[in-house]
Amino acid sequence: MAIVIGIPVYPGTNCDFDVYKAIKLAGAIPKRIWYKDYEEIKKVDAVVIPGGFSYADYIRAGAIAARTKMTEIIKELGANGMPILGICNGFQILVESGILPGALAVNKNARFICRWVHLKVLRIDTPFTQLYAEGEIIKMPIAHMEGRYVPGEGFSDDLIVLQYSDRKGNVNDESNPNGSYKNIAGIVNREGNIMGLMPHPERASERILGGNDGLRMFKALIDYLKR
Amino acid sequence: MIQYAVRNINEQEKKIIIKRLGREPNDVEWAMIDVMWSEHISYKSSRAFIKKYLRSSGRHVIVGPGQDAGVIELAKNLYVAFKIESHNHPSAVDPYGGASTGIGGIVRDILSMGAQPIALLDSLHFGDPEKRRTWFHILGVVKGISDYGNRIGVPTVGGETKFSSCYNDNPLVNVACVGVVKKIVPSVLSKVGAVLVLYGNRTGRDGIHGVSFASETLDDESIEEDRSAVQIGDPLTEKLLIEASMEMFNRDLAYALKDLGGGGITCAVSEMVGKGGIGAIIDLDKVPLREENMSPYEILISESQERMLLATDREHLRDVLSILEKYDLQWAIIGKSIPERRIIVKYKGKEIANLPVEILTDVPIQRHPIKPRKTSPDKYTVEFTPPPLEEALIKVLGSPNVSSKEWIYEQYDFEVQTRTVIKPGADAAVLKISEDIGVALTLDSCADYASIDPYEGAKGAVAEAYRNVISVGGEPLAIVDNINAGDPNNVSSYWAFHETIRGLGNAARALSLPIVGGNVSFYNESSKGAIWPTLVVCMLGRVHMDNVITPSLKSGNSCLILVGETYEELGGSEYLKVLGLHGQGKVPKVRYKEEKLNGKRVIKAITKGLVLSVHDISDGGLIIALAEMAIFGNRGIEARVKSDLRGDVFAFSESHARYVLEVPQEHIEDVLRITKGRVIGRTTNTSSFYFEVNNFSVDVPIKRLKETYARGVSLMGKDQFI
Amino acid sequence: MSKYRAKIYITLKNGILDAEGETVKKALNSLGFDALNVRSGKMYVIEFNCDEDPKNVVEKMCKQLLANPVVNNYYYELEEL
Repeated sequence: MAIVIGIPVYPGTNCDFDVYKAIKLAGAIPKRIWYKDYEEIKKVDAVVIPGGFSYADYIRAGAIAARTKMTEIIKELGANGMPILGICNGFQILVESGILPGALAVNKNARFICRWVHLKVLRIDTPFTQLYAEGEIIKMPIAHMEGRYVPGEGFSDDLIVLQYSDRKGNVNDESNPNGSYKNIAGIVNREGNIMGLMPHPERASERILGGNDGLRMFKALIDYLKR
Repeated sequence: MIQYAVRNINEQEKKIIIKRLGREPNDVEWAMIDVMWSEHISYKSSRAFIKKYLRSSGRHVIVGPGQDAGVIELAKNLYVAFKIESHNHPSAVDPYGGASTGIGGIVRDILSMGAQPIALLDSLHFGDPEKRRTWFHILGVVKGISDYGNRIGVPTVGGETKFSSCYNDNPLVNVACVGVVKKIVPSVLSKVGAVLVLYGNRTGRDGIHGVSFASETLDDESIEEDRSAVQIGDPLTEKLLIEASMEMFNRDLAYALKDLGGGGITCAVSEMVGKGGIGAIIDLDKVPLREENMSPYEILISESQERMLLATDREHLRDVLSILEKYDLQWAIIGKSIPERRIIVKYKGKEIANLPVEILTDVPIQRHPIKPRKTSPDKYTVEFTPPPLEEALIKVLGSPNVSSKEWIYEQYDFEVQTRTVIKPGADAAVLKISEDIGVALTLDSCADYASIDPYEGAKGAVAEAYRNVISVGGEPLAIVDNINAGDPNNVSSYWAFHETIRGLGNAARALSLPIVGGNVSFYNESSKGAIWPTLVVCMLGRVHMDNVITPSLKSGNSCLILVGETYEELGGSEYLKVLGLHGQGKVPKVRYKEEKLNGKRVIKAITKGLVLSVHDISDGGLIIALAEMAIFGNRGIEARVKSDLRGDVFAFSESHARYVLEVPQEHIEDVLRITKGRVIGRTTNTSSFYFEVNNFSVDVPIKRLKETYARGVSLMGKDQFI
Repeated sequence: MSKYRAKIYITLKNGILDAEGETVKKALNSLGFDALNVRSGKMYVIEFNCDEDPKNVVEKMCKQLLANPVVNNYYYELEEL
């Protein structure tokens, strides 16, 4: 039975084709769905909300996309247990719509940062991280202006899935590119089916492009859905 | 009744126009003719030399100059479009707006060939970094490129940033864009009865007189006044424009496509039908407007951004419009093509302009007098007492032109579209296009050399780009160029322009590189003087994914081989600059035979898999190239050389046609045989950089080199300003 | 139905690092000013029709879209047109 993963595309989303490529590489059928065709997203097995600049980050990054019918339906699907992965702008949309707790504020140095970073995997019991080892250090690029995680109501430390670290796994200020609380790069919801992260796993899916640690995130999701 | 005051036409040209037309044009017609006869659009001061010196034919050339972008065949059924444009004057007045709209414009040029934009590169020249005003330019331009480029999802993968006081009032912002195209959409329409659809943003008063603005020099007053001439960018609409256009390409819905930039609707329509041998009728009432009370001439020449002009037929119209509606884009049917070779404009039911197409598109060449000056120094050898090598190395490594630009390119999303194999900071960018083939891209200029000898400086830019493409394992294929010059009415500026284009043409021809497009930006001059004649070369090469190679040292146990001959050529060097001696000495000469031969040899060594890293030698000479390789790879170096030249001269001379190769022990013999190079040292597992030439030597920790290289321009006070 | 104009100011809660504010402060000081503290925010001028209490409408606009309760505070001025 083929796995279909839906990729919602909002005006200004620009990482949808990259996510499409990575999902295909990982062995599932990706489906890009324009935000106006929100009925279509009900027909998929999982949702990956891609990165980019939906609505040009007007008001706040992800603020307007979070308040569309498409996102409303995604919220319902997530509440019913569907695995949802939000990457970068996708993460911003998840926190803006209240699907995940907290907020993502402007980076500490008030600049856009494009850089490969190291991440420490804290939780391997999510559909997205089950192919990593606990404490494994992986590499992925970040590219964002508003990635500083600020905890809010409903947040607790046990929801942390990924932290910015250095090559050796040290989680400290030096290895924190944007000032996120506790070096948070990615969190999961309490139920464990919805994850948001600022780094881009789809950009770390081919060795020749810098590394393929990210591919395992999509493969893990597919394995989970195949069960 | 407004009296339209032309800005781009002199008295002599006015007479020619009236004679050709057989009458005096009315106000609206004057406005249309005025923008089309501007320097920026007509190239009247440069066309003659372009025709004389530049060649555009080549085996891989599919589309040469004349359309919206040049197209090269990369491999079977794999075509790449690329183009370069400048947005200097708007960026001087509003750095943020000027830079962002520069990106928007060049991306639309690529899009209008039916290509998907896949990469941007930018060449930036700023003034003295000790001046606050320079930082006003730097911060605005970088943020403009970052905000716009990142939002439209096109990665900025390379470029250069240079500094010199000659750019204090006239910063240069040259942007190149590359796209992948399956089926080329022409810019020229020859079908009569085609429907003309304008889509994208509404039309406002942005940039009115923008092309005129680019055709004048800046003085102090213009800085305040001309803010209205600068256009504002809207990257969200541009992204939707890209998506909608791509869908139209995939469904073959366009006969012809043009983007609207300089000269607005007037330019887009006349250029679209001009070369097609037909004409068009335009109905201004249909144009969606953003402002109230716009006069017809304003609608015709407005440079509002994010607009495209599509020619299609009635059959396909419904599909086109449903795509535009899907992406929430404004659209209007503003006219159609007609058999008469005329441009007819209607407004409120009346015909307000009726001109033969030629009067808009055939602009006579403007000749200017030239005054040559001396380019060779009185003395070949510069006389000075060299400082200790370590001091010189640190000064040059931390100098504005040489030091790391990571703090700039980190603000650009260079990974989006997941093609970037070689990231910014290396010799050239490499993007993966198919499983085996990729494209190498670089932007280079040698204004320091051009300030002394414009001819050699221009040749130098071509040679440097050539080496950069080869250094990443690429085969150079084609060039697009941007010439930034002063006022053509200034006899020495115009002479420098002539020398630049002559150097470009000769070097490109000698290296068998077709020039498939280009841009000329004149009037980069203020009351304080003109810029150095600055040629920016964008070179594209083909790379096999197996051959991709970077300059960072890979091993602590390999050999360093220098390929190429070093001459005493300190003219225009970074070394003399930090010693306050810029202007003296002989400028590096481009020796075609050596350049081609060494290029071939290095490529051979790369394709045979015999080398670990390659770095070409340019700014700062050999010692800087070695320092960079050590910094990038975080490995030590121990180099010892003997030379007939004085030690510091050998270390810092910027002679062309040279490369440094990192070669594993087992391949040294083969590489020496292939490249005719010589061993100059080895890599080490220590953390120090040791370089000795004759009786000059330096021994510094890599850590210190890293810090100097990274801190670079902040030595000039960057941290104060941001 | 009455017409109103609201000037809405969105600011960051105290205790949230204002990265943009810090950057602006540094820039002001480099120009010779003696800026002690800078907080940045956004301002929207919204003209709207409504037939309920306009304060209610503005509150809803802020809570539903313009302000993020995790990090923002808001205040506004209201006038009838």
